[in-house]
Amino acid sequence: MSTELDDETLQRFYDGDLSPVEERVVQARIEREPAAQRRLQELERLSAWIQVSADEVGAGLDSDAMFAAIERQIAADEKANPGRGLRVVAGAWASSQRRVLWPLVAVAAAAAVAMLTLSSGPGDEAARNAPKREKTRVAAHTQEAPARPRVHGTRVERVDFGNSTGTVFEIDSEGVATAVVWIADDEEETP
Amino acid sequence: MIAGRSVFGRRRWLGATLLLGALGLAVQGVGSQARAEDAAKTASAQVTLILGHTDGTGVSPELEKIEALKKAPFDAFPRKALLKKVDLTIGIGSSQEVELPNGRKLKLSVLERNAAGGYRVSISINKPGQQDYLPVMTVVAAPGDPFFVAGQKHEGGTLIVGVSVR
Repeated sequence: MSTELDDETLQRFYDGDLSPVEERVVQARIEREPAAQRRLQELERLSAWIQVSADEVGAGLDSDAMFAAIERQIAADEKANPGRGLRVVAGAWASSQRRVLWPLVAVAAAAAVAMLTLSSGPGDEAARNAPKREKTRVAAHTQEAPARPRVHGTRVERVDFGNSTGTVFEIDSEGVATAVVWIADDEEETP
Repeated sequence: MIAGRSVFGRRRWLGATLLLGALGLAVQGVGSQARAEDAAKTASAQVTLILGHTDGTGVSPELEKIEALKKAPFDAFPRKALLKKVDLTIGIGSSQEVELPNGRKLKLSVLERNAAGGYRVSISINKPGQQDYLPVMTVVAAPGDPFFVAGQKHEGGTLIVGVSVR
């Protein structure tokens, strides 16, 4: 096929933001295209690693102790410099926490990406193909089906979607491919 | 001799018959060749307009035999109604337009006939004078096998446009 499933559509599919019909279109496309399956699995893996890392970072933080330390520091500053009028304003704690968290999250995300890169080597074929979601499982199942020779059918050679968002895929009926182009229609219908 | 005249008469009759027959076959041959040449220069196309709904049930009987419509993603529409079938004769290298119920026009061009007897066709679907939906797509199609363009909104449903060329 001449067009790849774009990242935005794949991400929206992963996030569950597509309409039911669009989802079926994209799912059918993923079932047919190993490249799209790999990209979806990478997306799932990256998301899982980031989630795990964020959980680990969150679990390692003693927020009560951190807040107490901040309060102690504020009290000490107030005692040392009574004229400065230092006060705790709304959001100060969250802001402090964010300052601490962001570098940790960045490190965790970098570690996740590094792990992802390392784990996608040739020796990890089974793990790469291991489905994590129903959508991927269907795709993997279809991928295993033996390809049947096509004696008839239709095939999209080229498509220009212009400003539209579209998906190209094939329906397989007993070895005969039927080309389908699905294009989202964003404009209101002309009366 | 009566018998001699009879034989001579039969021969003349037979010769004339054979001559007429040969002439007829020649004329028929020329006609067939002309028809074949005409057929090679044109293609018969059919555009099928279907409206799919995600609510309700029921499929127009004419659509039941189209296997592709029973599969994903078209099985997401439990209700499918045949709106119109349009038969076209299009010259190779020529185009024809079909007006869609949502105001857009489908332009179908038969670009060429390939060695396997199939066709390269292109279609575009746009509002008149605009390129608002599908600027152009090119499809290679075996004779009579359909392809589909779907997704346009219409009357609360989704338009499914099927095209086949033979």
